[in-house]
Amino acid sequence: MASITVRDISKGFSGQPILRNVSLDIRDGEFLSLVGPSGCGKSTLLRIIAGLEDQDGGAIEIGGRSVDAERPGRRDVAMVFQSYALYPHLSVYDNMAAPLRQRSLTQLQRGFGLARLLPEARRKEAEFRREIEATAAMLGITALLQRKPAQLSGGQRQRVALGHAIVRHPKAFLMDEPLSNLDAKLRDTVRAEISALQRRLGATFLYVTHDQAEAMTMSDRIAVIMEGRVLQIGTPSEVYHDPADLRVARFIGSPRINVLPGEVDSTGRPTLLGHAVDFKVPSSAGSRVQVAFRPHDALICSADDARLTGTIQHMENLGSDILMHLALPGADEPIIVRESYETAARRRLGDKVGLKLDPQKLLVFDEAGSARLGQDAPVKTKAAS
Amino acid sequence: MKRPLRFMLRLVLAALFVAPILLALAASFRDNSDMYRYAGSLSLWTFLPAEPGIDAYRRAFTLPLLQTQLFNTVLLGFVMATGTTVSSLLAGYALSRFRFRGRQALFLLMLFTLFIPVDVILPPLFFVVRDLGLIDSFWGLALPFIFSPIGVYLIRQAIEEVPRELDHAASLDGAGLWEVLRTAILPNIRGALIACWLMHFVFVWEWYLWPLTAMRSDDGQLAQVAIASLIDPLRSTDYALVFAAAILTILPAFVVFAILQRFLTSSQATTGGK
Amino acid sequence: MDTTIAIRPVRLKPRLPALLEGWGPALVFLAPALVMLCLFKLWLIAEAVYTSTGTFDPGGQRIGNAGLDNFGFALSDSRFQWGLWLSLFAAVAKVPVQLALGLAAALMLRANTGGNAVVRAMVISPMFFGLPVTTFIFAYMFDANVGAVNAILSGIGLPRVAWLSTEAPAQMLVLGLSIWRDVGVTMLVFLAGLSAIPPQIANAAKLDGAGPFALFFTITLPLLARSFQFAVVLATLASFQILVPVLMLTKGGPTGATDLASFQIYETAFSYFDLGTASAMSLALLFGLIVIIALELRWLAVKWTYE
Ligand SMILES: Nc1ncnc2c1ncn2[C@@H]1O[C@H](COP(=O)(O)OP(=O)(O)OP(=O)(O)O)[C@@H](O)[C@H]1O
Ligand SMILES: [Mg+2]
Repeated sequence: MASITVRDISKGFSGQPILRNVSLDIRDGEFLSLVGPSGCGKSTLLRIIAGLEDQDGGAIEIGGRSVDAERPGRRDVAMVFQSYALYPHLSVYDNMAAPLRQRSLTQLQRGFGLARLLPEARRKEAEFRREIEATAAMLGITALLQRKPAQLSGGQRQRVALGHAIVRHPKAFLMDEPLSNLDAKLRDTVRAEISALQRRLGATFLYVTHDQAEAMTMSDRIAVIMEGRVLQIGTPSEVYHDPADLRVARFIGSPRINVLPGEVDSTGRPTLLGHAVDFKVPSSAGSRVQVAFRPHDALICSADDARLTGTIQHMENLGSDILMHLALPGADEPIIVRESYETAARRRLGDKVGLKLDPQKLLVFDEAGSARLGQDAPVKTKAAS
Repeated sequence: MKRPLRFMLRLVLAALFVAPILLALAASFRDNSDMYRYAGSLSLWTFLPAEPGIDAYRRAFTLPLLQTQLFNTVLLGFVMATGTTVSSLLAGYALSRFRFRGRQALFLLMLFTLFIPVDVILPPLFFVVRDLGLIDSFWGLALPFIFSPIGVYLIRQAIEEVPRELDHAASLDGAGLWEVLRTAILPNIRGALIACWLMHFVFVWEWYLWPLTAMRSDDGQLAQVAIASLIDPLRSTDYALVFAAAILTILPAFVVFAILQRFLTSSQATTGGK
Repeated sequence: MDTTIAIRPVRLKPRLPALLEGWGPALVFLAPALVMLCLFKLWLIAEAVYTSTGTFDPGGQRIGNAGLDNFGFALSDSRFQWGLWLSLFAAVAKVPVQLALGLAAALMLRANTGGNAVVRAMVISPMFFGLPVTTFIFAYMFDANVGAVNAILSGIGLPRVAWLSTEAPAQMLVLGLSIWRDVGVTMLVFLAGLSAIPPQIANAAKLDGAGPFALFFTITLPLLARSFQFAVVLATLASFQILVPVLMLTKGGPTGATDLASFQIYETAFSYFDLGTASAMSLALLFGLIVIIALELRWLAVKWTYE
């Protein structure tokens, strides 16, 4: 197992920059997820690490050693592709044997079936068989070894693709949305299995996903990439509760985070939609800020009890909880508040209600959304200066 | 439309295409006196041999060079089919997977050569091959047509259908350029390869003008060209002999086609994905 | 002793993505096709241009420059002009007939039933015999004495026709042979086009109340535009390749009725050994062919795709 260091990687396609100075440090044995909107360059980064694509600038190190001049086969990383990329003409067994044969048989032994009958090759084939059978047992696909990929279900193919990656004990695993072709239920089971597998192998995993639930549940750390830059790297709870950037806050979490624009008045308090709120932000008077809060960090009360008021526009039933969509005069998008089923049962569409925010849970960003402003942080600023 | 009408239409259509072929087949089993006595006036014996026999085939076998010439045709078929398939495979791989300046332009240029029919360009082609010193030789016949725009197109399209992730998986397994081609691509385009091979194999039976021009010696000539010289429309042609020899000539093509065509449908590329 | 350590540059094997970039490695794979392309297509054209500007002795030796005289000579020759008209006429006669027949056959055999598959195989079967053998078959069928066609004609009381020594019948024979042989290709092109039409489109039109004729003219035919273009180009190309029956049977006759430009090119080069003029004629005909195809591609250009 090995660490992976990505240093200042940049990459563009036909003049269009895709990755801009991306740096990542994946520790030995770590499970790091890469999330970001579609087309932000996650797969490209993975292919660059694997050596399947040349970077325009920057360096890749695997296990502390530069691999920029190494062929993909020599980098000793395994990749699991979204479409699994199994050889359709080979049985599951031969699919799993392919990397082993490619690595340790000679050209002659690989090219000509008959050469496999020679004692040297047979000894190696016996080794491969042990390895493949052990891996297959671990993944529960022993019964499928003689089948062709076309005869497998999506989940089984997914496991074979994992097996293909695992058999040769690579230094690290790169996975490109390996679960996106599975249905929701299967995805949950396989998610747990991959987590368990990673702990068992103690392997370094770099895992690309669209699905933030996957990232949150499986990873040691999450890296959020957008517009070709790493916006934040941190543990799942850091990224969720302590986003460094409004774009991260918007991207992580479902239902999405609510954002209200505000203006800081002379007392250092922001005005939201024309209503003063009673907490301070470390920003000069007159500057604009963006205040964000998660749907479960707000309360709905009667309209008389709150300064922020709106009407119920839509109720989204999730079963245990209901998501209330409130239209606030002056807000661009509805504010979403999560309420328990019991409380929500009393409300009707079109009701006028008040909105209470918990000052402790508010996330305040500067106007551009690219910097967090700590609440009551004048203290901090003082300490720093 | 009524059912019987539909059926009749199809029958007429089928007859239109098959009847001449059957007529020729029947002619090969007649002998000359039979043909010249009965075939000119309308009766059942216009179409069928009155006294069927295999005399014409016997005579075809004694044609002095027919067997050599038939061998030439078949050999040329194998060489052309294999040559075009290999060159198209390599070119198709490069055109699909490599990135180089002018790739699209090169592909279009290759396709464009489809519009240079041999009928039109026969003299200059003859000069080129003569300059290379290949007139009257087997390779003089074969080489000009080893590059096939249709073959390149067919195989490049097939390779485009193979997901690139398969190449990537193979190269992560440690494969180089040739081995990516062998392990990830070849097994997935078998259908296209066989189609390409078969097409160019059968295509040799189409040849007439080029061998007529570029091959003067009789023992290097192709069977169909030699047989054509038996036809003289202004005098009475020995059609029985012509068709017996022609059927012997196309028989190898049919056998090879029959053997290979079932692979065409059975080898459908399925990817390992969903 | 010399204590400096000689630093040898490490020769790294080129990596795979690097290998996929640039002409160098691609050339290895392109080489066979590229060499043949250059020799027998590009050099061919260059050779045609070069010989078309020369004069030659009967032995094929270049004995002088003719500039553009060969072109002038060929194009002002009334026989070659007639040959070019004939070639154009062949295209104009063959393409519509073949398209109509091919489309009719495709529409008739469009459903995937076993019977249809058999009839389809029969329609394309002439392709497998090769042009020479096809020509033998036609020579026999239309033979003046023992041909089945004349036997049938006389059997039903019509006069026998001397197919190869009368002008219009000889032309019909050559064109008919070519159409008979190529209808199968056109049919395959249209069948592929028909199968690519999403059934929802026809279903939607049916729900809108379109009858079979409206369906054909408003849905099927417009959606076949791409196949139409392809079939027209293929048929045009094939109409320039009807030299084999002419060379084998009619020899340009009777009285010039099948004296195609390509036949004259062949004769000029290989009977009169006038290589310069033959090359000029080749280029002129090739130019004509390419212009026609370019016009077809342009007029029949299709601008939409299925999403
Ligand atoms: N070979 C290529 N040539 C040109 N552009 C490319 C190429 N490969 C990727 N791109 C572009 O680079 C961008 C990033 O692609 P990439 O596949 O890395 O996105 P991604 O983050 O993996 O997206 P997704 O989540 O949809 O898989 C996209 O805009 C894509 O169009
Ligand atoms: Mg991707």
